[in-house]
Amino acid sequence: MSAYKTKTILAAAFAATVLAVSPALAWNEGGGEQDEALHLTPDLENGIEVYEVCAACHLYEGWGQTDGTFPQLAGQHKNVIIKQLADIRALNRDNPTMYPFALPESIGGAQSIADVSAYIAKLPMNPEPGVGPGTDLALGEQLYKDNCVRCHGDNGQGIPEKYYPRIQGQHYNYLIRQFEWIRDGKRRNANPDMVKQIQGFSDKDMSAVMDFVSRQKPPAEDVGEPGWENPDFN
Amino acid sequence: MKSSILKTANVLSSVFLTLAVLGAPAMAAEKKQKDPGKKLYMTKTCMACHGKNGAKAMLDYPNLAGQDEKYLVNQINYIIEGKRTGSPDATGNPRSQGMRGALIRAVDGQPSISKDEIKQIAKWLAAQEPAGLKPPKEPLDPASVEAGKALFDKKCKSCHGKEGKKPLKGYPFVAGQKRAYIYTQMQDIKSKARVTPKTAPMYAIVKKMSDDDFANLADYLSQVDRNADK
Repeated sequence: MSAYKTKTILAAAFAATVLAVSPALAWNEGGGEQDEALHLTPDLENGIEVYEVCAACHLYEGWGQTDGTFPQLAGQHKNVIIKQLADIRALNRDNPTMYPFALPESIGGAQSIADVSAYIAKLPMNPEPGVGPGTDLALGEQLYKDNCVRCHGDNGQGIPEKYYPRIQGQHYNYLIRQFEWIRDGKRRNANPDMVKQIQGFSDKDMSAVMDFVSRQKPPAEDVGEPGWENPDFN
Repeated sequence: MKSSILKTANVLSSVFLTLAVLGAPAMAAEKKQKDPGKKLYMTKTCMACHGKNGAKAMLDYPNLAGQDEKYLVNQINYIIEGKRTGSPDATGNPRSQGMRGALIRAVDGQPSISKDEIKQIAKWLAAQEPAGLKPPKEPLDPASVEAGKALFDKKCKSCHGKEGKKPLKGYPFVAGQKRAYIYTQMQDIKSKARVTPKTAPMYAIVKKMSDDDFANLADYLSQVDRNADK
């Protein structure tokens, strides 16, 4: 009984330590599991097994929800997934809903992170992502050209080696939430260059540019057929 | 002649195929007819945390199988509305924020689940067989279990029922619940990190209790088998 109590206190002390330390971590500390996972050879069969945990929210196809509650993961760069998973696990990106599923007891160690990330990266993407209202696309395009191209590419393809995510064809509602959190300092693992870059964006600018991004088409070979069901789970 | 036999065989086999194909969906539909509550439990992501049939919850999250229906409806609503919170979890957010995040739409902050769907899930969960007892990781101190039982009979039984198995309507079953969950909830009600309509009378009782009392109660209740002598 008193051992039980001690354990609870220890757990609380551990959580407090992690929290006290984490604000110092920022955009891309690297190291630890992230570096380890990046250099491991992925085992796609194990990736399927690990992914089953993720599928409860992100769906077997990895297509996410158009309402933006859960993002599309399919087709995201392996490096980006590794970094985000490692960040959530290290409490460097706040995500209380996903946190328990990023823990080693749910998905395993660095090898599993490598496996599931490689598996997700090769899933065909959602052909019908949620898009915005379509009312300010010209403004969105201009803002994108002036602010986003250097890192996210001319149509939102990102740069895998630099951990810049693919944002083309992501659900509009998810894009909006993340953009807002990055702009307003709520997403702790955001790239500080981006935070600075988008400080002057009004909500209207944000909506326009995210609408434009959600409508950018990934290369046809990366996109699934409407209604595709992931055969690995059927 | 030979060709006409072949043709007949072809026709017959295509008739057979057609029958088979027509028959298959009917059978599949029969097999797939799931309880709407169960379907919602799975598609609204409840299962990811609370486990198969609500009886295999992860971490210190509660098992929900066989829980009081009215209690379930109320708690789901309180959590969605932000009325039920709790002490910080490992991410530093109030317990229940994880669940809220899964059920609140990013786009407009509105729930992605309707009141009616909540009722269907609760109805189905209440009808599930409660989780079986999980032996503790370390053996429990029999003195603690005994002290927990004595305290329960004195302070808790009038609302949660004999052995925590017969709560008043709208109150939770506590028998066989996970030890870590019971312990944390009692602490949270005492510290007022959790304040929901029915916690007021309980606060009056737990405010005089110590963490040792909570540990005794959690030891005892987590080992009461709800499936025994039903």
